[in-house]
Amino acid sequence: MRLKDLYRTEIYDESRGPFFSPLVLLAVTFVYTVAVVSFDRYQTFRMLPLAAYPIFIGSFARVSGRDIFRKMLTVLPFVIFIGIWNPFFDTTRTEYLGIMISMGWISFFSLILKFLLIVPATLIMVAATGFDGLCRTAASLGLPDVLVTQFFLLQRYIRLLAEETHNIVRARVFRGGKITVANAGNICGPLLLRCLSRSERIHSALMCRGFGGQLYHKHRRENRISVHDLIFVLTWVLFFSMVRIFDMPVLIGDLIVGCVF
Amino acid sequence: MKVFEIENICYSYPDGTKALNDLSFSVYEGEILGIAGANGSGKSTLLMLMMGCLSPLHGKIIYEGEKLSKQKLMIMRRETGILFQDPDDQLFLPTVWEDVAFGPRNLGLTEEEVALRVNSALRDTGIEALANKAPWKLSGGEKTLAALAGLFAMRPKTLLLDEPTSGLDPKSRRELINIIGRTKNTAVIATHDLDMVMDVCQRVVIMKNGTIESDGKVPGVLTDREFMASCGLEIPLSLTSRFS
Ligand SMILES: Nc1ncnc2c1ncn2[C@@H]1O[C@H](COP(=O)(O)OP(=O)(O)OP(=O)(O)O)[C@@H](O)[C@H]1O
Ligand SMILES: [Mg+2]
Repeated sequence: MRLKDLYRTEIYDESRGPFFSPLVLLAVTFVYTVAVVSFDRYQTFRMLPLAAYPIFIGSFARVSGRDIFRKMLTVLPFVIFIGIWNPFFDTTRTEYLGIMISMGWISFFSLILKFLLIVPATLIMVAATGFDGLCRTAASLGLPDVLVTQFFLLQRYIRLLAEETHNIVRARVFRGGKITVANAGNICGPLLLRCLSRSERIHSALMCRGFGGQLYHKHRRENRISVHDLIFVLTWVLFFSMVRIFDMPVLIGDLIVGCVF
Repeated sequence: MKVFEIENICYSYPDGTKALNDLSFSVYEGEILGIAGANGSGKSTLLMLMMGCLSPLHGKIIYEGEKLSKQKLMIMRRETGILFQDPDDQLFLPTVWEDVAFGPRNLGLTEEEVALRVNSALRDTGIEALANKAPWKLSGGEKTLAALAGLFAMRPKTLLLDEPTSGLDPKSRRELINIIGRTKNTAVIATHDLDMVMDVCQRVVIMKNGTIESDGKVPGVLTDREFMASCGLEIPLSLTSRFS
């Protein structure tokens, strides 16, 4: 992954514009996350049907699968690190799909599965709405302006940090310099100073254009919810509830078995 | 009437660099004033001081007859637009359109008014096609044009421009010069583009090491080859061919 890509949240083709209203995506993704998390730690295949949601919004929002996959790979080691202790502490043995394994492995598997369900859905949501869309939705939901503005500035400064790092590293490498652990300090110091002076200039520029601490103005109505949006939300919430209440894989399995025999 | 009066301004950066040294001049209503000077002579610092982004160590800045207090500063910033030397510092929001709309929205205009102003500013600068693009994906010159559109959309009475033509292709440069030439606004232009100064400015201030070396009518100052050389400058290209 290129350094400059780190701050890229809008992966979708920007000329197309967001496919779903940010508010709707935010709401459904929230319910989805709650549904995934609510499965207990030994449940695995029961939650699989939920994967339909990220697949659906991913294909409609035209988000690049490769980008999502790469971003997931960077987070995966942390999840494994957290989950890998389960098999050591939870050694009660049980039969699972005909094999004897410890409960710890099942909960590890369940954790990975939850990760695989939640992270892509969240990434796709952010990619499909864009950071600005999220901020705007948050503002229109009544979150205090100060908070939303801070949130927005934060991502602007993260991008600035990434840009400056990119520039410094490039300037060094093009003049034959090498980046090692030993000289990382020589990079971090100037980097910090550069970011400070640039953020000062950005702040000045904002003030010069009459910035009064409010980025998302009240009179801008972004989130009109249409019938089409409402149907989208209700359908998915219904689906999540079904998966949560009934053991869909078993039901479907029984159905197939029932039909065949 | 004087728009800006700068009186005996001194400024040093926190690291001790003396950028401006006892500098005085005035900007009159309706005039287009050029500021020229070698690299590091203090042009950008001067504009930042005039905009109140830096405060002088000594001396006063007077805007329309009043010293810049907190309140006067607010009024001045509503009426004055500045283009920074590095347009990257100025572009902020996710799309060019949104960025250009930022200033007008801060002025408290209705959305219809905002849209009207943004579209006309984008048309004036010739970047309508870039409206939905992210500012950090623009080329250098496009960024300058986007930042300029952001200024024009605020319809300021006074323009402070720091190197407005740097990075522009000849056509965009010519169009910008035409826009500046057409305005009835007051403008202060810090630039190395002395040919533009010849074209649009009535008066020019030549800076050297943080002081003013000369302040006078355009053709007069710029044609003095020896004086220009002593300030680390050359006479405008359009004149060299005529004189040699
Ligand atoms: N942030 C800073 N900290 C310390 N010194 C600075 C800073 N910015 C500028 N200077 C110094 O102040 C002096 C004036 O700089 P300024 O940017 O005003 O020059 P300029 O006339 O705009 O030059 P240029 O034509 O290259 O844009 C220079 O000597 C410069 O090194
Ligand atoms: Mg400068």
